[in-house]
Amino acid sequence: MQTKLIKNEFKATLTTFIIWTIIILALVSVFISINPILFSHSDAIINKLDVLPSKVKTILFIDTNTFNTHIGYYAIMIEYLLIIGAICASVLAYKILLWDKINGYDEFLFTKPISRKKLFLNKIICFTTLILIQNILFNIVSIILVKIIIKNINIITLLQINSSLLFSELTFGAISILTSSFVKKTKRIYRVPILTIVILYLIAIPERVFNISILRYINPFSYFKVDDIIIDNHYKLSFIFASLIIIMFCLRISVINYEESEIKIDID
Amino acid sequence: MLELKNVEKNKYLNNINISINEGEICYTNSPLLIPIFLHLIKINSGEILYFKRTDKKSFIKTLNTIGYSKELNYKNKKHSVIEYLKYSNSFYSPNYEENINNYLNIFSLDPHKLIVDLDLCEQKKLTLINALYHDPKIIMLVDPFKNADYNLRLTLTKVLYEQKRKGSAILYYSKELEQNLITDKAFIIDNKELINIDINKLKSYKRITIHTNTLDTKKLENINIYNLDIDKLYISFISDSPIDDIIKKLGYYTIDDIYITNPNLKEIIEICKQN
Repeated sequence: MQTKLIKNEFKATLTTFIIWTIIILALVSVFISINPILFSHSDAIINKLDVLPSKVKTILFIDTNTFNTHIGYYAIMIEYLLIIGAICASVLAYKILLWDKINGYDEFLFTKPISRKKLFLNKIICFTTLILIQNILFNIVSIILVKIIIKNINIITLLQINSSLLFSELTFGAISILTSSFVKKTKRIYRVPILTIVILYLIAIPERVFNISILRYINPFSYFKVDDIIIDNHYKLSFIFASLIIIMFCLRISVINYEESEIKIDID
Repeated sequence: MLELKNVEKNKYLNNINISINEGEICYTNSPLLIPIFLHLIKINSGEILYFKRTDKKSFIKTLNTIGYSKELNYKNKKHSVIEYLKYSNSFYSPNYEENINNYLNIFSLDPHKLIVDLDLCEQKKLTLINALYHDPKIIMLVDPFKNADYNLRLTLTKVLYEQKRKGSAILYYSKELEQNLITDKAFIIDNKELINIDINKLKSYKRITIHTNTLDTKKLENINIYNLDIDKLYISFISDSPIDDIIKKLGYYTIDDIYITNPNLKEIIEICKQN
């Protein structure tokens, strides 16, 4: 019975998952493929980028000091990928959590001999599995392309940098699972997660531009900075903990909300 | 078997006490009672008891013995009738495949028809089979006769009597009381309160419409009548007196001009309150 439920969850999210995975893999492929062309003109590009105000460069994740290094260039790509990944994770989380409500399965499931906690757990298993599969594919594609095109990046460092996508997808996924558990309407459901990502991204701007360290704890976008890997060779433990606390907190509140959720009844 | 004790639900229910026993068919006019019993909506205070137990963990086990049918709200267009029922069956053990096939025969529903192609009556059949195939001890039906054609009404009535005979407790909600189904109890909620009305009394009310312009209205004084409506071409009223008595007292024997219908529940509630 559990397997059938999980299978149904997978079926429900398969199209969304495939579309977003293709987008992420395509972006990685394009970014890595144009690397040799950019590198051959790196001095000219850096000169042009240097014209931009430093704050704008920070907002656009551009660091001209490291732009002409392979790892620096890869770091810029990852920063953009984190935004795409966050949106992808949020959309997937919303689809998985609200699918039953949208399609009228919730009442069907809630009257079957299975606890709501188990139903919720199945959704979490499905979400985590999809994110893991996506990250495995992303790692395979990026390693192959880097090996063929860029060549001189250490694979361990690359995997460490890549893991920021996994961590941030899980964190943003958990945040979206939480917000979706408060959603009552089933139309235009993606407004809330996308808005959440935009707001969190906007919070990241003053943190980056003015280097306000306290804001870094508020915003999951800043938890897994590639700079930390490049400089220290590992992520800061405090941010990994912060991320875990956010995930645990969001899931705990969401499961309570899910267990207490009501079915809409027409009373006339 | 199942009880509600001192249940309150903000604007809708106030201090409701209900008990349904083995082998009883019960009617309610409140759309909230079934969702409350199934924990689909929350209550503000009070207790929901199944077999004298209130805890939620035992409720999950109790769901094995509950059959629930409501309007089909299942939008997986690719599923066929049998796929839907097999999926539903996957939540229960043991396997009830044989029962599913039996009920598909009883309700004459094509197992391979896609859900998207079902008409309203067939959709009703599917939700009823879904509620019945696992031999539930408690059956909760929302609008069981809505969209049902004559054959389905007949079949469902038979099936419900059979379940009643086996000892199942049945609770159904609809806006109007189903006159053709022998109902043991009626839980009529009006203005948040449970009204105590005897089910036989409830069924005894009939609306009588006589197409005439010659009837002496003085004759009506001898009959228990309510909600009288007199027009140039007809008179219409509600009465709980036996039909034969009414016709005798009116001295009206041309049966072709007399129409007997069921008054709506709101009218009956008003009459009961007046009495």
